Amino acid sequence: MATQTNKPSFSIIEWSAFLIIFAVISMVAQAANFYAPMGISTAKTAHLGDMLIGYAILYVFTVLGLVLTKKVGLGWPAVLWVSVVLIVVSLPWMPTHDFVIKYTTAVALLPMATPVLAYAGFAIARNELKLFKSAGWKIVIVACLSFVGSYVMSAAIAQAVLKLTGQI
Amino acid sequence: MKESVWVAKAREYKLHLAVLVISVIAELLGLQKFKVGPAVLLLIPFVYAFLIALFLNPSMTENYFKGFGKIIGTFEQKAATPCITIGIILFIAKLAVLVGANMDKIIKGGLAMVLQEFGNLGSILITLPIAVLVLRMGRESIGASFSVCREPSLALASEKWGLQSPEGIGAMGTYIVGTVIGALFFSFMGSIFASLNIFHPYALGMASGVGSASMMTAAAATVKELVSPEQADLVMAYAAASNLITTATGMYMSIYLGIPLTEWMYAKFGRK
Repeated sequence: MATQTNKPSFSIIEWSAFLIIFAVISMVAQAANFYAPMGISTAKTAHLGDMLIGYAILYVFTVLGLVLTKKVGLGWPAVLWVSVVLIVVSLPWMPTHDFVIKYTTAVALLPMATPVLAYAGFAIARNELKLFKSAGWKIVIVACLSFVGSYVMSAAIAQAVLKLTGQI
Repeated sequence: MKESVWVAKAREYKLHLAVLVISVIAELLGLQKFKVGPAVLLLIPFVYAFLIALFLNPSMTENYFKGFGKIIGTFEQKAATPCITIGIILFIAKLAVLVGANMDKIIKGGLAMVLQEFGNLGSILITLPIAVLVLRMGRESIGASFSVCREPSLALASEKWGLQSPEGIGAMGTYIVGTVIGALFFSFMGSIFASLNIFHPYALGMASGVGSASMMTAAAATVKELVSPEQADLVMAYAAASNLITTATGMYMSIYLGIPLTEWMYAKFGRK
């Protein structure tokens, strides 16, 4: 059964080390975003001190999530554990809420996605490109239909339920 | 121990420097809006970053810019793969803060959130008949349409059918298409739907959570940039929460509902 998950095999030290490199790249990206001379900027600040504190808080709780992935496991992937940790500390009912929110607002969301997608562009392997070319236009159409279908159907259901429950 | 990690990272310096330079260029270009008929097309820096990196990918440059392989070669290409998995975690951490901070509102929208998860199945109802009746595909259509097919679904397909089987080839096909054009496709879809005003931004936010962080971001970020700042945070929070639910439950949804539904529809429409 696919639900039989294997033990997480990553190294916390290795991941934590890379996360520092990643955070530095993101911070530089955020500063570039803030001053974006040609387009619209989405970051609220490029203040180095504020960004450092914000990233440090995210970093500490992320590493805590990685430790829980290793020690507690439950077959959850790291993204799930990290999410749970950060959701809990930023809940409105938690004493940590004000502190976490106050300092992490300095971290802009989208500039963090930029390096991720740059890595993704580099990571696509030769045989993946080959498969993409040989998959044929039928598979491309079916895949895109699956994307559209999933998105539109979900949006339609959400729209209907939000309307019926009087929330929009 | 600690030293060896940094030594290993130092060996990848060209990769990380290239990512840094590309990210800065992409961010300096900034967000761009174009009006295309009734829709607003939004170009987000991460889209440029992806395209620039893709065109500098060693498997691409070997066709038109061989010398670049000395900077980004197969070593850097291999080293980039784990960076996606790890880097996205910090991004997810920031998203989780939005989810936690808005938890009261998310709980209010909880019913819509849970029910829209079944929309991920709804795609089968459209996709499978077209694949079988219009495109005349065989059992590949089952693998290609039972989900948007990110890593967990691919693992599931490989275990259930094997990746050499027709179903496995179909699943691999959707997976590859998603890997290569998924983020681009979702960002265009997001900006089209957000500007057409058919669905409320909150509904679009929830719908963005299809089980892939990059697709969700691409879809939701475009919506976020086209609405008021007060709505923007909640759109991202809904998207992230919905994506988390899909990440946690998507596999069971596929095992117990998605695959049986796809098989049943294939038996109805498929050639005997």
